[in-house]
Amino acid sequence: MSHPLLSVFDMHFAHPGGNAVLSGVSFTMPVNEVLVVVGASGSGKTTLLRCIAGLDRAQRGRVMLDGTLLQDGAVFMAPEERPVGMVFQGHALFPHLTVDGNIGFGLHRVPKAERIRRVADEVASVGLSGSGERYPHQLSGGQQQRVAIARSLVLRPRLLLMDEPFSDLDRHTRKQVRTEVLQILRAHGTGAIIVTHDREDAYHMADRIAELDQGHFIRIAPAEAFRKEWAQHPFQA
Amino acid sequence: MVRYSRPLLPWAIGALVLLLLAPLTVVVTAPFHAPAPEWAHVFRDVLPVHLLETVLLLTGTVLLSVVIGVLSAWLVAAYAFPLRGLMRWMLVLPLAVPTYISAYTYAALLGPTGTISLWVHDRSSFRPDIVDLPGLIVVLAVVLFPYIYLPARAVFASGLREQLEAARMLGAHGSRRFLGVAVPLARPAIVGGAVLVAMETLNDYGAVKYYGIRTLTTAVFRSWTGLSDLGSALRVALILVVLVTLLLWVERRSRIHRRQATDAIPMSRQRLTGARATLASGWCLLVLFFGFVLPGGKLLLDAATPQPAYTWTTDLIALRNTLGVATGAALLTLLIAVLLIFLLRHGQGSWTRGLVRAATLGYAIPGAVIAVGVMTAAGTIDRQAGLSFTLIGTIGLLLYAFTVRFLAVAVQPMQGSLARQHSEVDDAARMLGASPLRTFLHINLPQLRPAILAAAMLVAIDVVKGLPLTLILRPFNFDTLSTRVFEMARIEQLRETARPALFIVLCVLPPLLFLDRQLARSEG
Repeated sequence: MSHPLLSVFDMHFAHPGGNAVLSGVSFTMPVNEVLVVVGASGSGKTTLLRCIAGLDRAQRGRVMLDGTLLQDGAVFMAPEERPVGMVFQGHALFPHLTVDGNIGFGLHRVPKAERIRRVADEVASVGLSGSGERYPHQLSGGQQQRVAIARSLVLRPRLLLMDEPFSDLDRHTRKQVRTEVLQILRAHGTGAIIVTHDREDAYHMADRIAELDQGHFIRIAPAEAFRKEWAQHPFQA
Repeated sequence: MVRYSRPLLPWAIGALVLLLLAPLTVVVTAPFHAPAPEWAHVFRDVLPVHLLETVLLLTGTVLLSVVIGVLSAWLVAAYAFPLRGLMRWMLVLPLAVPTYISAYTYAALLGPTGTISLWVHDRSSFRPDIVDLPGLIVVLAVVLFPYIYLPARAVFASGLREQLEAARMLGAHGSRRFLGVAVPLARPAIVGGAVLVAMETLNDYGAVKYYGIRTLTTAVFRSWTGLSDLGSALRVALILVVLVTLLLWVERRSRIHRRQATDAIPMSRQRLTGARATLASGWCLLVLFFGFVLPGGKLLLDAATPQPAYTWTTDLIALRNTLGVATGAALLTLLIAVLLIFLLRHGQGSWTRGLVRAATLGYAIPGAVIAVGVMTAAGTIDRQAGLSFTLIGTIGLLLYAFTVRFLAVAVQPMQGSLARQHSEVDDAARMLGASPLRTFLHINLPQLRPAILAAAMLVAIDVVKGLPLTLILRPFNFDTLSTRVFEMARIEQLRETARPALFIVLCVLPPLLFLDRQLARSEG
């Protein structure tokens, strides 16, 4: 096997004066993999994503992405420098910018003509052609979700982090967006870590599933193993 | 929610609102009832230059305040640097120094015969002189910027976390996150603060008068006292009202389709090190120095300097009068505010909101305009009733004018607090047999206590600092601290202004710091 896309080793995080949220999380993930992290509320799923993104600084641990050291005891790469994208639970779209403005936000150093072309390509790839001039409040929940994903993917990150990406979508839209997101990730060749508390999301999207409990992984296994287990115990949380 | 009203209540509240709107009505209808023999002269020779200088002063002060306020708020909210914790609350301190006091102390330091100006002149051919329009813009901006700093800090600190983190994940560094995301999203708060700065600038009389700047407020005084033409003064006041309406329209437009404060999670601050940390600390210290330390220090020094002919009695009487008026105005304003809040919660229909909005219009109107309106209305009533100055020159009239002007200051915190009380609780009380009044007194009002305390302090602070309204409406031979300071400065006894000015700052500081603590708690 070639070197992994992401390797996290012995990650510890606690809020100042609070209990440990992550205690010794270690895992690796290969290129192009979609890893779904499941776990109960408060198990540390979101914190894990924030530490990998660099938005929270783990007190201990090493993070390497594609052979580049992002963090260890001596090194800390700022979030804006990391080749990592993140889709937030509430989308975090910029309400004062149009769809084009949101997607092009991270491309400000790219020459204008190229920026326009890349934004148009990305808008088309998430099926929002013709909506470039609309503002976030003029879009449906599913469309906002797609803009949030396109905004991150246009920068071609090596890794995409998604925090409860489908939580505020209705059942029908959820299914549709889930399929689209998976297609987009595969088309871009982007690895992803998706945090969810929903088994169905995990079931349909994951290559592997990791179960987080009280700040550490209790199991990481191919999705198929979880699927079989969940089929036998469909009502267990 | 169950709504309820007694037939008499709407009429009683309606009459109260009419009473509160009387001064503004007098001003707005002036062209129909007040003869103005000097109007042609005022319109041709006075108004153009006063209008021009008003616009220049407004533009300069607002722009400079925005730069100082927004930059300081961003540094304090988004970054960790040495002295940040101290600077977070200390940058509010300039609000304790009324504009006219800051203007006098700067004139005493950097005016043509100021201490620093003379010192520089002795050592060079250059003599600094800050007593002009650009000088006043700087002086006003360094004490008024907290009106922008406070709301901007609140939004930056706890309203934009997700968007700012998203910007970071898209590769945006500090300045791009600030200009591309934070400032546009905080625009309603910034514009709201800027409008307050503009209103304070329009309201100022002491500073502009001393610096010789001809504004619309000085034109009101000039028409009235200089030309003895109340009709022209009312017409100039009407132009001021139009200008204020324009400002409020701009503020309202800035909020259309703008959402801010999208979440309430405190922002995680980025640690600055090295030169950046020094620059951030240096900027905040510089702002604090010019906004508070320099004028405050000058006041302290002058107050400590022995003044042979000085007796404490006059200033102590002024202090007593000030505290008395502030307490009276705060109590009266709170009483009416509570009535309006009751109406808002338990009254029927959309007209209640309209009434409350109308009753609180006074805060947008400069003190001089309200004073002219009150004076005219009171004079008319006196004449109609065949009385000679029964209303004019009474404490009651002064308290009424303060209530008209500062009712909004009392209503707003209570309204905000009331909005956070679930209406189901009221319904539960009603279903348990409580009348609307009992529900209000026993359920709503106890929860409003912190907001009522904050409202009382805000009104008291404004009354203690207020000058133009007190100057026009105070009873004969009745001095407050602000009028004492003004009178001393008028006869160029700047050093003698120090002790009453210091009293004002000391009266305002404790409630101001208390309010800042409350705000900081809500920011998390």
